Amino acid sequence: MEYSPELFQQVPKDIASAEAIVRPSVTYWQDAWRRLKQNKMAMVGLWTIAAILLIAIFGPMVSPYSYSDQDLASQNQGPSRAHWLGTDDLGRDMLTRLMYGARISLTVGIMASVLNLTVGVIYGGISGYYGGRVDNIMMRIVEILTAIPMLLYVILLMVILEPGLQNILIALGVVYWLSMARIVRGQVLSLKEQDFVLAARTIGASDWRIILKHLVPNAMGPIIVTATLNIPSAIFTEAFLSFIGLGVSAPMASWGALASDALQGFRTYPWQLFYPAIAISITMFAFNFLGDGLRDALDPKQRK
Amino acid sequence: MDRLLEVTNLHTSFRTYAGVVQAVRGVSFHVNRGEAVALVGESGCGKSVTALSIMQLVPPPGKVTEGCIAFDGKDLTAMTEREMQHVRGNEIGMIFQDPMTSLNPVLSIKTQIVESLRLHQNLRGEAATHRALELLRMVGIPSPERRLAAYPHQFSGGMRQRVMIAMALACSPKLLIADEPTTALDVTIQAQIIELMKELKEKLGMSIILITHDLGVVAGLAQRVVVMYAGKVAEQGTVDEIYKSPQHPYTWGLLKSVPRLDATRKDKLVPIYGQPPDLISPPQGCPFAPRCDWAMNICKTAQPEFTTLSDTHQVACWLQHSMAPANPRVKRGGAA
Amino acid sequence: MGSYILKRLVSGVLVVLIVATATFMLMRSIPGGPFRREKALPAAIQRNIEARYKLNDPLWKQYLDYMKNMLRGDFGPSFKYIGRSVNSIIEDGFPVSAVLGGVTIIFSLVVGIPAGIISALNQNKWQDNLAMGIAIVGVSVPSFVMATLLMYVFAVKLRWFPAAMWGTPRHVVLPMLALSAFPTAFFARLMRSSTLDVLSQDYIRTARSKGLSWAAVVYKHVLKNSVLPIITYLGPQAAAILTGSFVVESIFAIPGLGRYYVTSIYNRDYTTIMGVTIFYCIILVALNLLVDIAYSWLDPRIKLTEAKE
Repeated sequence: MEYSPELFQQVPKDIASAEAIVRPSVTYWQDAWRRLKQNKMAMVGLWTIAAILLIAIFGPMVSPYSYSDQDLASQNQGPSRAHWLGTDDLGRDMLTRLMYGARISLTVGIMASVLNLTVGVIYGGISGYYGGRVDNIMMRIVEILTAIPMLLYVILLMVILEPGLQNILIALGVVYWLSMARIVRGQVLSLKEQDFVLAARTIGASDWRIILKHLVPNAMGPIIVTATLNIPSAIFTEAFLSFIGLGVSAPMASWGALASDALQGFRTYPWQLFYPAIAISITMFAFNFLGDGLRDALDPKQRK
Repeated sequence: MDRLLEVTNLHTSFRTYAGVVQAVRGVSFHVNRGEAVALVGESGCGKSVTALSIMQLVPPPGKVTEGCIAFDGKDLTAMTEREMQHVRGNEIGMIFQDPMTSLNPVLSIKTQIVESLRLHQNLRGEAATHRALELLRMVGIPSPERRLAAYPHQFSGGMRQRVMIAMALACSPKLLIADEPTTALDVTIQAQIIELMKELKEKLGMSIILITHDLGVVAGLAQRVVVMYAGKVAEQGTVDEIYKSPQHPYTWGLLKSVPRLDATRKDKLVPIYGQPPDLISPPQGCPFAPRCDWAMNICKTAQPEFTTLSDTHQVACWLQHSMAPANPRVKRGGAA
Repeated sequence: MGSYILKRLVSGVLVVLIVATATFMLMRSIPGGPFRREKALPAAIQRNIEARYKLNDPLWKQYLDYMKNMLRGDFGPSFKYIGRSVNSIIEDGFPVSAVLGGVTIIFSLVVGIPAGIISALNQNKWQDNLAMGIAIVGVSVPSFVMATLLMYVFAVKLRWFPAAMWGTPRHVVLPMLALSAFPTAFFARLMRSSTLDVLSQDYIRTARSKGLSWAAVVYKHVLKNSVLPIITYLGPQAAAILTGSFVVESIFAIPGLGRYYVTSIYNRDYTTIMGVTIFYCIILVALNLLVDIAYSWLDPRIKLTEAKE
């Protein structure tokens, strides 16, 4: 290499380029979305859920049958051109009932999750934000409730309230907010020590404003994951309740009720049981895949 | 002098989704027997990765891709995992930055100390307990008999670091690697730990590699200093050489950003502006050039070679070149 | 340590009392009272219940009576079966359910924990993908689907195992598999994530720096730490197995307490529902207590926090 004097000319320090952040900055949500998209199973879950939602909304509309149309002349038929998935013991079209079941199961799952989210965020937010004695008492209550097998109380509530969609939602909502409350509290506790909350305080933001504008958005990741994973467990619980005879009332039928109905004729007409079983399982898969994917994507610890 | 460790042209890289991070890019230095050498630089400069490379414990996806690490006449990079296990804890001990997380919370400290005694020296039962007590006494744990069965959470941070040192020295290793041993501790405790390490070094005659970003810590313990920047050695020399006549602008910056007791009013603390380069695509010139007050055109295009100023003092900087503008602080060695 | 156990014991008793009270109140809140709902009760039962529950007493007196009897271990007569007491139903059904639940939890631990460890140690390799693929089936397929599927394939079609009833070890296999699918998968997933978490801890690097082999590090330093979360979830999983037993016992016609419970729900046998619910709560609270004690014994950090107080 040849050295020329101009090579040794001093150049002004280039602070701008030294301070420049070398990699393009990605926001938390962009990064999470990028990672979610990379997760094939999560995307399969997402599309499956979208498909099930579409079927649940539009399926019953385009079906020539209604979920309660009985046709006693064609009972327990196998799949045919008229009844793609066959008929049940009262001659009702299985496919139509299955699509109606999707409406009920998804409604229960999503509504229960929203209900738990609301109760849990409010309870956990208050507990974590105020801390001290308030937190102590509120968490003691959660602790006691956690020690109680909640599903037994859902059953008990259903026995008292009598079966029905609304009552299932009430029972699930009353009972399943505990884990959400705990997660929100934990997030809030760790977040509220951080500087940006202090900063908001110093400019005189009110408690509620801080909770809603600062704490909740920052605690969003774990909350979304928990809410997503609450949906399949609510669907599961509804199916379970229907299966033991505490679900929605006939002739409406959720997937759990369809499976329960099919159990009697199970040895002769196993497909009647398999359809709702497969439907539940696929839905649970989809939500679990999506929930797992979201957890991996939203967990900042995994950020590289 | 007798060389215990000689690292030559060490390269260690991490394969991540964004690209290959070249954390260590051709580092060479050595440690003599009974000598303490400090590896100094800001976080991310590759000093910890260098230490983990010596231990052959670079976490995946990291890998030593090139270079030679000669320890006591053997090349560690060529060793099998089994052979390495005999070296770790036995011939090279290591202590880490955070004593809070570096001890297993569910095992008593006795279990954790005896573990290496049993493994490398085949000490069991009474003999092992006796040796563990001796070690705890040596690192200054008060009433070790009572503390032996205790769990890590029952110790303060400083005491835990003492336990870590006892563990690392259990088998009287020839080399102790201390990776930021004082960073997580209170200032008063920091001095105690450095004092302890100094004492033990004299007593046991071992060598030490002290990794730190704090030049204040270095002077108390080390004989020589290796200044690292962006995965490369920028300058190395004895403590005197580095403190009294530093030659690399980065070393100047490091020294200026350390508070000193003997400083006068006009000596302000000056931070080094800017950030180190991205090691996925390191600059072709001197990596410090963008932050350097004396940067020249050539600094951006070509990597400076080492200039030897004395047997112990070397620097990689274009200011050493005869054609570079004169600088009162630069004392030129040979031609570049 | 002793005071810790005592504290947990007191809070356990408190939970049971709260549960019993809540159950009593819930059952009494049924419009018209649980015992007057059916139009035509058999006269014998009507008299029996009148005598037993003193329905004309004020509510607080009824409550005290019920609690007093409960504390003596007496849950009263069944509301549906003449001459049967809730106690005798529990005595008949519980041993069967306990055996089924016991083998289920042992099976799910014995299979789930190693599967999780193997997955974590082979992160993203085929072993991991295989185990976690099976595990997601396990957590996604409800127990009644699993039960009917297993019954259809292995009892109806292949005839390897009996489809119903109870008695021999062969009867246990299918219900146990159906019941353990969820907890096994749950434990495997939990064990995987906690093992991965422990593997990334600083003290694992310390252990490696001492020259321990990888196997020794896993055995001595990883397992004890990573198994701790499993213990905390034993209680909730036992509750899940218990509720799962309701449907699985019903499907396989196993004469266990779960099946009686479901029958009593169908029949609106209020006293049995009430008694069995409280009984289940006592079992689960006791189980949680045991788990807490085991945890404090395994994790030295717990003892300290108690000593500080």
